[in-house]
Amino acid sequence: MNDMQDKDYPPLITASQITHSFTQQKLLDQIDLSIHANEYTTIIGLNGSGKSTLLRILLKLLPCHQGTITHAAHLRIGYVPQRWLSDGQLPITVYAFLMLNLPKGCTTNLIDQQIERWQLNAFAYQSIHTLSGGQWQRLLLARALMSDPQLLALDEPTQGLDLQSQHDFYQQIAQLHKQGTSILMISHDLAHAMSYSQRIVALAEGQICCQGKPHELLNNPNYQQRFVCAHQDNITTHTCCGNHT
Amino acid sequence: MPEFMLLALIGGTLTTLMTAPVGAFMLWRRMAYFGDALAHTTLLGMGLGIWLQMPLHLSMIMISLIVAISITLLHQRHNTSTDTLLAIAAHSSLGLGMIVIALLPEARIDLMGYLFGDLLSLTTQDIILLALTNLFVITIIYKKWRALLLNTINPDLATLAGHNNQQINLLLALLIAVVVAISIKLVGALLMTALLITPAATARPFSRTPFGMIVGAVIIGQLGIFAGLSLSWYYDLPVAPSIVSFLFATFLLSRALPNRK
Repeated sequence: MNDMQDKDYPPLITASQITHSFTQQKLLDQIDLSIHANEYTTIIGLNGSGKSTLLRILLKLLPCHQGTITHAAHLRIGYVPQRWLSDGQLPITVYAFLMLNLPKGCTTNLIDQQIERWQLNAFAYQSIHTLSGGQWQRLLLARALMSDPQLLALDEPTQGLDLQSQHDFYQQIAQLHKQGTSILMISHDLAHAMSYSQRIVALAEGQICCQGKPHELLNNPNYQQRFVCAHQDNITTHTCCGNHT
Repeated sequence: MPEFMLLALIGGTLTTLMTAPVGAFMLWRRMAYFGDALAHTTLLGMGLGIWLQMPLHLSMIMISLIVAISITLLHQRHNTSTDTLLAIAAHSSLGLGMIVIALLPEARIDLMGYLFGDLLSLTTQDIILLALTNLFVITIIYKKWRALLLNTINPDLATLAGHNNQQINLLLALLIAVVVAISIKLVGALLMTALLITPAATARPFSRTPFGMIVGAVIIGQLGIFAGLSLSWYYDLPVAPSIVSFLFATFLLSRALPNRK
């Protein structure tokens, strides 16, 4: 794992004093965060902590009510959203879906390459609605990588995958990171975050409660209290820490 | 073939060429009642058109457009559910339309024609208007095809691909408003949604691509027009209800047949 400092890389995204509310409830409160080139960053947090909202604001998919978001000039972003609900009324094959996302000036060779790379050949002409969780994630990765992104942003990409598929998926993302793609991932999976990330940003109640390298977080009392104890509480109630709020 | 039947056939054909793609997008985006609400608003457009002595098509398009844009913006900005807004818009404009018409005692409106359409009374002028509207609708859909589809599949992916979702939503609202206001003479306000939605829903099980589904919807719509006119000619049945009933039969048949895709 690369231990270089943030300052060695230029920031791809800089968020300054980000605040976002929904029906007068603050979802994010004065967040300062930079995402650097070549970094593998994972944003963790409990349900409702504002992870997905933060990611969508960082990608400028959602406006923030206060604060500023700055992207590096000509930043190319690949985005893997959470699997969305679909009633299957729109008939579209894997190939046609990739075709819709083909960047301007690129030929269909790019689609063929991505289909080959992500082993989508067997169902290239199947409806996207019939894909399994793992096939769906490979399709979204293929789509996101067609623009040759500098930053790959993923929103809980392993949700609903079995353990083997999760492992395979993380290996593929690690491979992409080795090849120079910056990774920004939202995850519930603390084990993944600890094993693969260079930097972990922990969100709680709309604020960054702690951030740093995985080994730094392990010794951080904020992290211990909010994540390790909370996690253990889910398994065995009231067995550790004793400091419940 | 008498001239009025020929005009009806040409008018019906032109109409299905634009209702099929617009109806398909409405089906994909779960906007079936959007068309219904806009069809109701055209009565207000008609009343205002008579009052202001404007061409009726123009006043109907304007009112449909105002309502379509208002619903889209209210939904986006105030997070009010679309079905609530549609119900309010449809029935408020129907009520207001009836009041405007009641205030114009000299106005003679063929309410049955408005409610159920009058395909057999199409004029050459109507055909020209339909042809121009077709050109407009099909050109916009062709030019914005990728943005419209991507926005329908996932708005976030459309944004990252550089498309403006708000503009796309308003554009689709504009297309629906224009198609509804122009096509209402054929099938009427009450049956408008059937012509938009049923052919697309019938084509769905046999389609593998969005374009294929639209082509299927055009063919089914054309069959509906032809069948409706034939039933009217041979059995003296009302045209628009015959078209809608035939389309309903094709829908039932499509669900009885094995799924091909």
